[in-house]
Amino acid sequence: MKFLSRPEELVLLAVWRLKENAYCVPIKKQLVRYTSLDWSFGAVYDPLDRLEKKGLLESYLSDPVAKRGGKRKRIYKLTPGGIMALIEIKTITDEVWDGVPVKVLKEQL
Amino acid sequence: MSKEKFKNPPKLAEWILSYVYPDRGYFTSVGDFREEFVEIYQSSGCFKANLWYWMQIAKSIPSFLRNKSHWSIVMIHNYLKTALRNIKRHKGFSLINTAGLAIGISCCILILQYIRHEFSFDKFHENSMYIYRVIQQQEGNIYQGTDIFNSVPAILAPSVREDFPEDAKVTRVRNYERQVRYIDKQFYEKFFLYVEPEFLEMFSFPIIKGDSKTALKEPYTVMITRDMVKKYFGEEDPLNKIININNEQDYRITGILENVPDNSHLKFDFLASFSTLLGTWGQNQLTSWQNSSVRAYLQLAKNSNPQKFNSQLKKYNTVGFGGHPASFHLQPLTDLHLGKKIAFDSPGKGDIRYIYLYSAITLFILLIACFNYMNLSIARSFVRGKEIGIRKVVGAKRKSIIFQFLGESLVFSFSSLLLGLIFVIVALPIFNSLTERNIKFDLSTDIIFISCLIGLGIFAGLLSGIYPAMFLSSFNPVKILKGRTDSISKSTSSVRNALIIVQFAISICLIICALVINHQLHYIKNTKLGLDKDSIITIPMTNEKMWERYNTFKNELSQQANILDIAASKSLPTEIDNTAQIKLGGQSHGETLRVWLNWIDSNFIDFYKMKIVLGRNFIKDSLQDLQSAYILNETAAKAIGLENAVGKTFGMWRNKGQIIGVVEDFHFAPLHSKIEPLALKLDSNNLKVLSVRINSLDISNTLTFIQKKWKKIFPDFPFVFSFLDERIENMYKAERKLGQSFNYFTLIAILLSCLGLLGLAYYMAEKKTKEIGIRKVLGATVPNILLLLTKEFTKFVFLANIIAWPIAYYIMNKWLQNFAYRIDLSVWIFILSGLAALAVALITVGYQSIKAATANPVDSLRYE
Repeated sequence: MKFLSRPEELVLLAVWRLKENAYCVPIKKQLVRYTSLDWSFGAVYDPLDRLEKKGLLESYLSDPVAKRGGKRKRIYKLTPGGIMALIEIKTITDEVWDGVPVKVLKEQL
Repeated sequence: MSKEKFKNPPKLAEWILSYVYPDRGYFTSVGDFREEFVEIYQSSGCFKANLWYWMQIAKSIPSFLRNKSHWSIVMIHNYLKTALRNIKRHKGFSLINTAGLAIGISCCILILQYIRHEFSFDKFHENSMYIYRVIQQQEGNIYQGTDIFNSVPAILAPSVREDFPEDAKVTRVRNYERQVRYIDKQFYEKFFLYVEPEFLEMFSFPIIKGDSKTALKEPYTVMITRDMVKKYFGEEDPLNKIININNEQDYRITGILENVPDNSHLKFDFLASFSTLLGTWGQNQLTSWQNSSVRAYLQLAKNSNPQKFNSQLKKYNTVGFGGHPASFHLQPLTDLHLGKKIAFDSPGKGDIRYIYLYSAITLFILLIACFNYMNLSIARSFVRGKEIGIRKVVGAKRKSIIFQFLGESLVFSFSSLLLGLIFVIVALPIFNSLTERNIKFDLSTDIIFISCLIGLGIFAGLLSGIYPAMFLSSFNPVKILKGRTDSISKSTSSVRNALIIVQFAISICLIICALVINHQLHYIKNTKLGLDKDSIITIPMTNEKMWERYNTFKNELSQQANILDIAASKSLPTEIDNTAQIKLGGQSHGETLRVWLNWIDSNFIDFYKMKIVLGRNFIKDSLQDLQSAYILNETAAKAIGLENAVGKTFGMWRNKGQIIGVVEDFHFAPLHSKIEPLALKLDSNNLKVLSVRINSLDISNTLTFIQKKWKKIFPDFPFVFSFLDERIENMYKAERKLGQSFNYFTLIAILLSCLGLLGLAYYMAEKKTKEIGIRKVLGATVPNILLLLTKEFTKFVFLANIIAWPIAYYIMNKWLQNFAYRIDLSVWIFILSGLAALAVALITVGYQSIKAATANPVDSLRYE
């Protein structure tokens, strides 16, 4: 398979974690928390769109919400392909990072 | 949890965001933004939330613009590429279009500038809205075709000043031709005005030096323009210098003025104080209501009502010269240049009819050029049909195809605009000499002009592009791609033909007009005036002092063999401008007859080779003849009774006159008016101009001889002369200019029509290549095919003639009414114009036709 970019990877993971509530605002919040960087909406929309295009995510519209000025939410869900991708990423990353202790790296600074 | 406070982002911001931010269906992104906004609002307050929201919008705008323009740029790029390829592939066609439109546009630019110039007359004065000229209507006193005069009695201005001190400022203006001398420089100056001090307050002629309040108060003071400073003083400072006027008076220069702008109807080089005249004019001239000798200008107060004031002028109604009832009226300053004709107004006056005429012709020329574009575009639609078909199949909407073709024609019109500007620069001197204006044009500063240009470009582009665009976009792609173009060619041919016919009708109309005008000018030139006008020079001798030395001068001149004869008179025989009333019954009562009057010397009639038909000529040095003898022309004699005219006596002024002879009619005024009654009187005191007949073989030497003698005898007067035949020609300057401009316009119109026809013939021949090939194979001869190809165009020209003839007849008949002596509008002019148009059309079409007709049919049928 094609490798995902890092933001895509993070977004995919966030969607999985958020389950039923996976729409842009909470996704963004999670990303901010993970990375302690300021993510803009655009930076979230972009990977979402791409993942959807690649078939790793699918989306549907919620009912209108008053808090959002009567607008709907677009809620994302992992497709089987998406889950496969997560598994693959997890496996590869674990294997690649195996035996690399952060402590040793820090000492080399 | 505290009370949840819903505060929403500003409506405007939300609307903008929804417009610029890429949406993912049902405004979900707007919703996301709102949610975030509310959160920030609750945690950090209103200001921060708003700031954040607006920042989001600002950040998304660049990418929005990029996205938005991306596809239109791609399409425009594609359109441009197609357009350029088309231009390249059909070089001739593109050249015709651009050059044609460029010519049309350059005509338009010139005329626009001309119209602007004409309408700008006298508007540069700050008070132009409030300044009026007082004009005088003398009912029944028709002169130069009108009974309204620009001159009023000198007493009028002081009366108005006295009666309406609050309402109006008044100035009198009087123009004289003056002889001006400073040390050794002396010239006659035509533009020498006498004005009152109010003049400088009312009109905004900029003053360089001098005080506007005092400069023109005292008698014998004068202000001069910058050009005159250069002419007389060079680098010297002219202030307080003394110039001599008419060898009689000394004027002191009290100020310098800027040169008078071209668009001022008041033209002057010298501005002298009116009080100067008060000393020299008699009481009668100053106070009489019958003697109209000055012009009067009046500036109303800002709050007064011109109509009311106009009616208040009724109180000055009087009985004017010759017993005609005279009334006074206001004429707005800004109306002066283009307003109705008023007697004695300067010949530089504009004419609104000419503006209409020129605008109409220009519009026609632009129309022809646009028609060319339309026609050729439609003719080419067979070529471009495939492109349009494909575009439609691929998904182009009708709108985008219209847009494409309009864009293409706009590209054409704007490149023509650039080319046209070059034409304008080339043609400007010719145009200026035609219109006798000094129109400049400065692209860099003139914003109105530039916007006019852009407007013109868009107008021409849309005008020529709209029909082809609508038409081409209406194609049915299925039919087109199947190669069935018959339906198209049928539906377009009628429009195309109509356009060609209109084009040719316009051209034929212009040809007829040009022919008629030139014919009439030729007629004027060759009409026998009834006097011999050849190789005569005329020398004005306006100053009375000169006549004291006249005999010496005459004797000196007559010694030269090349100087054949000399005569003197008040006016030249072709420019007689005095009138008088003769009382037929005697001194005091009875019938009167208005006659034109000229004072002459005894040699005058022989000099001009006029024929005495009855009675006798004046006898030289006869005291009795000098006192009371008159010679009438035939028209006058007929009015009295031709048979017994000679010997009859009548009253003239306070004296008795006797008719001693009748002279054959001659044209003493331009051919616009009929020959009217004329009286010639012998005189020795009232002569103003010298006529000298010289040997035409050696003009330049004779002139230098005369000048040498003049310098010897009249060292204190400038030597000025003119040729009589040139003066006569100058009387018809307006007509000649009109003729010339029609020649140019006609040429351009024909050229453009031909360009269009050429292009069309080319496409017709190309379209019919196969048909011609088959016909030839089946035995058609070259003439047969030529006939086939030219038949249609011939038909068009005939139809165009039918349209053009009545229009041209109407216009030219009207124009000829201006002349009392005129040519008949013969059928031949019309037929000739029609034939000329036909010949031009056939020659244009001919080349293509011959090429098509002589082509080898094998070449055209090979691939079938």
